Amino acid sequence: MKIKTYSEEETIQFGKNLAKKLKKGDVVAFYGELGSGKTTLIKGIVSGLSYKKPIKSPSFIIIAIYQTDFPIYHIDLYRLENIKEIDNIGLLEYIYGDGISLIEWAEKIEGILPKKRINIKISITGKNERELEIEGL
Amino acid sequence: MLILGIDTSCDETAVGVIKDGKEILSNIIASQIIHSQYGGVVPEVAARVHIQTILPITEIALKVAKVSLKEIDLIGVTNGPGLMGSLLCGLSFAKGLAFSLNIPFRAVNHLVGHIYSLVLEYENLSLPMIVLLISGGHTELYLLKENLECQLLGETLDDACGEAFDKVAKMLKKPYPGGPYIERLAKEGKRNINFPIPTLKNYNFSFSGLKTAVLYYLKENPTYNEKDVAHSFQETVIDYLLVAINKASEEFNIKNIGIVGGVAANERLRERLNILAKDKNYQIFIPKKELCLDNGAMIACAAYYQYQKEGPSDFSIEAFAN
Repeated sequence: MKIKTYSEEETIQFGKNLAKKLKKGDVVAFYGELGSGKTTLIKGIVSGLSYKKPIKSPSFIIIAIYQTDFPIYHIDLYRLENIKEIDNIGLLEYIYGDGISLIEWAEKIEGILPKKRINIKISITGKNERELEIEGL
Repeated sequence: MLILGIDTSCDETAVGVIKDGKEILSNIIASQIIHSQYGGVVPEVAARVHIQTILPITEIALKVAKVSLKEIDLIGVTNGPGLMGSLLCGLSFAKGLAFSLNIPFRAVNHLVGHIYSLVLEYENLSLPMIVLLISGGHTELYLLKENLECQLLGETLDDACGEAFDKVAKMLKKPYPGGPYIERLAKEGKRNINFPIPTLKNYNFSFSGLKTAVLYYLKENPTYNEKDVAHSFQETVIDYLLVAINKASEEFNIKNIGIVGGVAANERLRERLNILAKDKNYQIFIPKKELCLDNGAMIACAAYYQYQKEGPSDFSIEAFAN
């Protein structure tokens, strides 16, 4: 599925709608360059999953946990490099746990991601215009 | 009273010893050089390095302070926010140490610790004060009251201030952490690009739109001058921070302004604050660089005051990431 959004608000609204299709145990991998709107889309999804507090970029803390009826793991691998060199990373516990994992910069851990997952690729197609390509939903 | 302060919230293992909440006897920060091999912070590596460094750094901190472990009366330790594995390392170490020495410990919020760097730096802190905390992971505006109570006025809704610096540096193809590169490039640049100053929502910040504005500019101008981009970006960020300071100063009628956190080391920010201070009659308080970065002494200081007021933390207290 491919769709286009034309503003930040539209991207957030799309995220809210998308959230209704997610269930416990889902892993969603986000791909897209800096500034493409990964965190913005996740804001919509998390709010659509009934987490009412505002969320921000977890680039610094890498994993933020939002507790609803089940945990939402907002994982941002921006600051990580060469993950292959690490033999034991705690990330797997989250990703294979029973919450919903939303992973930014997922390409950095491609090899350890579950095959059954939802991929969302965001491309910048113009000022404020984004193309969202969704697979596996 | 001698207080040992420990901070392992993210990249640094930091341990300090202070006396009576004021006097710094030692403040040791082990920069985790190992990260440069990976090009970024790797969480488990960070936690593993903390495990390796926390004991030697504590020993060095005690040695420099010329005190023995047995003389320590209180242990302060960061229990969040930060990188979970790293936090757990410091917290477990502090709990174990406090238990074995049979002394109290106090868990401290890392952000509150930053605010207490002002208490450490200034003998006579003029309160109440508007305090801006800006670092790689945080952007918060506080009202610091006479009784040292911190009231959060606003925070970032997306990227932290230092994170915006790092991400713009990345767009300019500079290595992580990019903040210092932006500052260096900006020195030789001109303000000839009009990046929009983001709007302040109540006292909440947003840096994401500015980041995207820089991205659009770079895409539309492939032959961009990186010095001008850095300069224009940095000035826009500073404009934005000053808008927030002015707004809070007016609303609360407070002329005392404090800046803490890693980005407080930015020289251009300090320069522009000083200009603003003359214009608006502000009194500016910025701790020295060692105290602006993550450090153990500020945690010890916060622990001291919180212990006086509320007593020790319970051993069951846990770490929190966000």
